[in-house]
Amino acid sequence: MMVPTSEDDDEIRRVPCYLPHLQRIHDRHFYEETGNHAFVIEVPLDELDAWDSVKGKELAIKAAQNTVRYLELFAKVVDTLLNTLTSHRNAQTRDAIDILHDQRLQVVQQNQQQQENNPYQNNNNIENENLQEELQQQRPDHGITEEFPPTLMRRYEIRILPRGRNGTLPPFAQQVVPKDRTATATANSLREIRSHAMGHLVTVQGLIVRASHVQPSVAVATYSCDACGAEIYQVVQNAREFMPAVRCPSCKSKHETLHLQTRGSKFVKYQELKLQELPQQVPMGHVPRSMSVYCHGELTRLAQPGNVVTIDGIFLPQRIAESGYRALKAGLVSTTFLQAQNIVVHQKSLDEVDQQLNEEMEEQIQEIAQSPDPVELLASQIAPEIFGLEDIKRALLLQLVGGCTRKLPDGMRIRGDIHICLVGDPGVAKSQLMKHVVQSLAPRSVYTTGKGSSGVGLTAAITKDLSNELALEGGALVLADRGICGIDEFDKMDEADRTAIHEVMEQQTVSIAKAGIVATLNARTAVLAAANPLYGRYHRKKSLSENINLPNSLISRFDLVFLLLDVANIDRDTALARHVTSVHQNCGVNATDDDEEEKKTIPPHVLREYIARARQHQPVMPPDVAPYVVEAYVTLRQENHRSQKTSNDQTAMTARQLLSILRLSQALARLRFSDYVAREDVDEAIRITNQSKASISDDDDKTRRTSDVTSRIFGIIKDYAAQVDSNVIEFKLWEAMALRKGFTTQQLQATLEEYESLNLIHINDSRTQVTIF
Amino acid sequence: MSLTEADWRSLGDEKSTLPCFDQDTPHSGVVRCLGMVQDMLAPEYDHTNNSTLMERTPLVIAPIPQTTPWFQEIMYDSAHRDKRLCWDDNNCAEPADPKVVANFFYDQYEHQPPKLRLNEVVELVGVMEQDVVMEDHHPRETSWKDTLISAFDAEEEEEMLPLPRLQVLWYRTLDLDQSILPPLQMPNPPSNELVASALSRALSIDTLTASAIWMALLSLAERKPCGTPRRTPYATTLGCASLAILLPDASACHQFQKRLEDVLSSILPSLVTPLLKDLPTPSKKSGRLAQSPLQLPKGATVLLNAGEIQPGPLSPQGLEMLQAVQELTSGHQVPYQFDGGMRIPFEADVRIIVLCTTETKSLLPCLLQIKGQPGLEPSDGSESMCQTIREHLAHARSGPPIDLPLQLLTDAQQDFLQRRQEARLRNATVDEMAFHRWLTLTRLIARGRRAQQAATCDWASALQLDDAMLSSLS
Repeated sequence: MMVPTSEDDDEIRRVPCYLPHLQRIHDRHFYEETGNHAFVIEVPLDELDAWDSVKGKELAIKAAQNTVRYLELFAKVVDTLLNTLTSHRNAQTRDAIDILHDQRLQVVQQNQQQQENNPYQNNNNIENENLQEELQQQRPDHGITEEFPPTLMRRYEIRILPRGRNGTLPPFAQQVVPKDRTATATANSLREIRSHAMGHLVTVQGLIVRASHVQPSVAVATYSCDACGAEIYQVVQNAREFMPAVRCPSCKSKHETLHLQTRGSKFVKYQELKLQELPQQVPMGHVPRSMSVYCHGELTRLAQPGNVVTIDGIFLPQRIAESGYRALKAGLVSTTFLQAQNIVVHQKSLDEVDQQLNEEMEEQIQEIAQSPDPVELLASQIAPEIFGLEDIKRALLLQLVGGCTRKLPDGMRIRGDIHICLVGDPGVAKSQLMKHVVQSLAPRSVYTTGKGSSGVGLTAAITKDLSNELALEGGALVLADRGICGIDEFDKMDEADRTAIHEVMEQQTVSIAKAGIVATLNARTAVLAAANPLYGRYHRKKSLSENINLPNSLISRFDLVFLLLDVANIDRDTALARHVTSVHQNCGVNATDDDEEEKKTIPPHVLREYIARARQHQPVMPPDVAPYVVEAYVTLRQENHRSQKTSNDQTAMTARQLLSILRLSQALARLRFSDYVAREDVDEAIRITNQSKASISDDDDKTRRTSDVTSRIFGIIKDYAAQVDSNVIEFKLWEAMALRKGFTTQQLQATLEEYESLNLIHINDSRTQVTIF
Repeated sequence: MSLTEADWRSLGDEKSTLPCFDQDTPHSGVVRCLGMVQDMLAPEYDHTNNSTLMERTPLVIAPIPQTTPWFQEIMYDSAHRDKRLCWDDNNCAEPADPKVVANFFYDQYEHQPPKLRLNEVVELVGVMEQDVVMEDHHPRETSWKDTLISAFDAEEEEEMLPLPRLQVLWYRTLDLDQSILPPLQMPNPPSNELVASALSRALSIDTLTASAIWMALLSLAERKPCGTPRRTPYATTLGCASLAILLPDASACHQFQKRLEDVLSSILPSLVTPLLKDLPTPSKKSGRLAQSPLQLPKGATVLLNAGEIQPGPLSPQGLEMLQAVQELTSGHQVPYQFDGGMRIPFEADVRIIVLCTTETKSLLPCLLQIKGQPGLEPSDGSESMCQTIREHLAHARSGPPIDLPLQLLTDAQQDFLQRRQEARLRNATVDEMAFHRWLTLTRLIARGRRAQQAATCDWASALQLDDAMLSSLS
């Protein structure tokens, strides 16, 4: 409410900061630039803390603990302030309600004057007051009054917000509030809201499972009396039932002379939401709890079913029924509800960043971003219980982050979504990986099988609705727009889907022209597919296309295809055996390392937030990196050409692959929170692409069997030296070549040490050049 | 004031004089009640006086599903057997809804909600409310249309079910196995082979299948210190082994199901045989958790006849049911549906035996598979044999978690690598699931011996049993 004028001032001079806003309310001067045509006064507790820090009071605490009462008090203060303001309103902004209000005020003033001048009338008024009291006693909850209720005149909404919410006004309070009071209100789960929080301002997080229509709810009912012409008011506040008044307390008529005047009454927009706990908030073995949330005014239509929301509201009891049999049955038992004060809808797709970040999460995100290898760290959090498959997990992370979608001046669109296909023998954890990514990490995703359980399939279909009308129904790929679509058993999809999916994967739209309906639906989704070999097990002698019974045109649309085979490898088998035994060994009551393990992991919501943050960046290729990519692509294409001659390499390096490398590079840059793609990103992208190709090509296996890692890394530099006819090679160049081939920096270092000790190579002191002897 | 454990013990034999809750003859005073937590309702607030607001959690207590006659006899003394709180659909004269809403006041339990989970078996002592008929769920749950606006609409009348309410004074959780433990340890517990042989005679089936059934009956989830089952990376529950018995045709499945029901109902406390056709999955819609045969307490046994599944396309409900049962048989958990499309898996630490044919064997995946060859001879099972097995089973399942020593695991790793290499030569597969299965069998065999630690002999027996089961399928 107040603002410090200067940082140097020891004594803070405080000026009212709400007055300009109140002046706008008074002048009916809407915020046209924001499109906000309603006046909302938000009083954050931070502001009250600022007041308390100067005055030494506990206004903020009291307002948080008795919020309904303080809302009314603040409203009265606002009313008083509004009456003191000078109107700058012109005649054009005055509407019918203003005129009605003016007339009512005049009537009230006239009545007051009459009371003062006419003692007999005063006596009569005393009788009237007695009658009103009598009526109140008879019908205590109906709120019928002859007095003009202030609510009727209010043309604004007032709300109290918890700490950490700035509201509509600038956060002046941050400068004067003690640090111990600046903590943001943390969201609780519904089961943490207990009886001690009754009447308090609370913050809860949950899922909206139902939302009613927005309907007018009566706030003040105005009646006119046919007999005496008096205007009678009935204030209805937070009541579930409302019995219209029929007898006039003014003329004491025994007949039903009151008539509801709709135009003279006040209605507010009303919507009821059903908030349910999120799955992660539900303790093991318990069912999710739910609560009704009453939204009024501008808080309506903010949330929809399916939204994850944080709601600040007042936790209040509500009698099950005001009267009748139900009230009798309920006895003293009451239900509860939340009167919303603020609604924050959380991210619905990967692109939307959570605006309500708390400090802890912010720290965690910064910690990850500043770690030596954030990609490695984040990739290890994808399905951590599944052994190995590091490169595939890395690729899945890049898929979650995605590249940048570019729209060219000629209207052409280059997709940024990364498509990945996992092919392999049954039981190699393809489905588990996919489910983890789709169901646990992607905020907007659909998991389905190629076969499909519904008639709609993957793309779209024309269906008949309940009224027998034809309707267009989107399939899984359409529903996963701006998200990830996990398709298990991709090889078994219907013929119609197989034709349509070509368009989906490149143009990212679904076109349908059936039964007179011609439409194009957006399907901007990253496809994560899993396919099983046609013959039960992968046949090495046959091509990938033959093995999974999919055309090459479709396979080539995937940026990365990984083949997961149950191959003989003593190291891998040993590690696998250790992994299985560790799972069995760590069970039982002696297992105490669980907590330690949990500490090392990154919670899924932090991972999601990190990805959302990363997606905010739109990295571009700097001029110095572009030639590097071109050179790398040309080299890879030449190598591919040679290898296709000498072996049955099933993968071709095409322009599509170049785009894939660019997408992967952009995703890697995004993970560094960078707006520029670096050489290292390109190298890593090429490495992952090579790993993907190597998993399909069986040549690589043969090579692997014949030579060890160090020999292969040495072979790279030796071949290059022969090619350029020089025995001095740039170390950076060798490193880049080795990384592109799928080797790690550690392996390169080991090779360097081994061959240097054998005097086969020499590296100079500045470690820039390698000489081969 | 609530009762304490000491109060309860000091009651001694007087406990049996407490009347058991009976739907037909309601008692007005203190009653006791045994059942399963079937649903959890939203907390209620009671204005007992103007200054305090009593907070309480209402839980719906339903009968333990499909309890067997001998279990009922143990749980309820003869004096109150006719007024027991445990209902059996077969014995119930009238299929009245026998549920109770039990109110747990937070004030009595250190201002905390009761530490009870869904599907737990509980024994309650409390005061039955008289002449108070409440809705069977919290009004908040159904107050959706009962808003200020819809209050004008007289057509909105909620369905009201008369559910008795119990104000809980004392409660305790029960384990089906521990509740039937005999007071004295058996001097000479039978060996796994002996039990398999007895089961073989009783079921008129080969010893190998009987051994597999015995393993399935010993199946028990290994748990974390906090009590939740340990899951494996393969989406299974550690320590649990479901069994699929492959039979020649649907009629053989039906016949063997009857025989299994007869024999197992004499051994097990709760045997559920749900019909797969039209099997509803647990779902909480509009405030109440609809009871489903898939809502089971720990230690119950499920006998599924996959032969009932007819060939042809499945309806959406059928597909949902099949997915739920698949999750039960493969992962020992059942997905519960909630409002907003929320799907939360709940543990189902139950023993599962699936009867299937060649056509239906892949529908309900189980950890163990065997080809059964039931004979035509009539069952040969005596009451004493059943009692011996049930006591032995209760003791074995009530023991501590089975520890796998490091040496055994090291040997197991070597065996796995060797078998994996040998399998490759035969163009066969020995994958990590097989290794996981062997270790689970080792654990179960050790549990059958009532040992606290598995031994090398258990590992050898597990490999032998697994080989025999696999060869029966080929």
